[in-house]
Amino acid sequence: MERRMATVSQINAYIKNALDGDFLLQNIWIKGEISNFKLHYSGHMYMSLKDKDGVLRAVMFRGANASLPFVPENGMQVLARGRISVYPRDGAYQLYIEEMEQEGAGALYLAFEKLKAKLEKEGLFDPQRKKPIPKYPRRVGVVTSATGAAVQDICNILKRRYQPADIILCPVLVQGEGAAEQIANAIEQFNVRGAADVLIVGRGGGSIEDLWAFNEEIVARAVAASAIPVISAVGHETDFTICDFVADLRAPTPSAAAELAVPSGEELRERLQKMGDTMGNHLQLSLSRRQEQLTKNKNRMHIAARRMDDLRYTLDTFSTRMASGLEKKIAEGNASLGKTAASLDALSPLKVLSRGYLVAEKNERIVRSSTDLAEGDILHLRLCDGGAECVVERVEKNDI
Amino acid sequence: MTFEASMEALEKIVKALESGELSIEKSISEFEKGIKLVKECQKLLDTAQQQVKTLMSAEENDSENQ
Repeated sequence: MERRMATVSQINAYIKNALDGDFLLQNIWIKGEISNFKLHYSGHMYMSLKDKDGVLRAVMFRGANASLPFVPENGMQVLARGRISVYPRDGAYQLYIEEMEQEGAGALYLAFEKLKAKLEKEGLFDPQRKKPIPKYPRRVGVVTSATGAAVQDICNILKRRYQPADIILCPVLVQGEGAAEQIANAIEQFNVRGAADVLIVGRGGGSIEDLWAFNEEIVARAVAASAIPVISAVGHETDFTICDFVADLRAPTPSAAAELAVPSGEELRERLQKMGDTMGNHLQLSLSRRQEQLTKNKNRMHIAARRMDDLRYTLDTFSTRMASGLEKKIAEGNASLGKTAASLDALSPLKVLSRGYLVAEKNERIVRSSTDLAEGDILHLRLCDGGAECVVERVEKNDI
Repeated sequence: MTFEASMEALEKIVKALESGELSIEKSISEFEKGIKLVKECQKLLDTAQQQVKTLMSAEENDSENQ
């Protein structure tokens, strides 16, 4: 029987050829857990993929792993796409990885999107549902891990910022088995006991799996049902969880949540001081305004009084003028009276009499003609300074 | 009166005084009220002693779940 013989290199090359010729092995997705991971200084990644019954060696060259969205770690469940070939130097076949995904990340993402859509449809993210955060809470409830940095950060800031608010801690698991239930239960307990005016629910940063409890429906429901306003503070600024969407307020970090939960005592002090000043200034202002008004009124009264004086003066002038007018009128009257009297005087019979004429009256009638007379008539003679009675002796008639 | 109520009352008084529409008697009485509130609030800020309490331990929480 002819012996078929080949060198090691020949057989390795033969096997390599056989595998490289297999269409199926040239592009295949392999599911497994990373172990023996090693990042070589050249930039290539060496690892094994394993499941419970076997191991497959794998390599991901620098060019391929440059666009990897995560850093592989031992124990990580992955889906890797590539080709199976032989590395002749080791006489071993291995997977040459072209791309790799974290298994579950896709599933988690889908679950996240699904729950988000469901709760959004129910209206749990509705801005109108969101309760206002109290301005001056007396008790801040904190639902987070007792051991993480988050609780320290929150307590430090609450302490520094606003002493009047007590801190009510409710330590919970924030990742792993039972975490979501504990978080939900803590929120519920705060409500049942009415133990806080505002709640901070959250934790520090971590991987998407670490934060997952805050994407669970039970937590979302507890936050939505809470009568106490909830500030959500999960991970870093870039992490968004369902809890953030349902909460009344989202804080980018636990520290930020503490800042949002309470006012700044320092600012409040300043504001109080300012309010005191403002009140004082305005009281002063209205007092001086009143003072001004008083002065103005006083001036107006002075002006009014002066006008009264003027009026009085005018009145006086009027009465003086009236009096002098009257006097003049009287004088005029007197003068004309004098004149009239003078003319009267001229016409007076007495005046005629004083010139030597006399008036003879018979039976109280003036005798104008000799025909009125008869012998024996008694005549009354009127002179300027008296009179006489006489008897007519004889009547003489003149022929005219 | 809660701190919040005090602050609200205070804001109202400040606004009323700022409006300048109060009578002089009212201005003075409101000012007195306001200053009293400022002092109360300041006192609360200055004397408050923050307490840290625990609602329930993690174990209790665990047992609540069971």
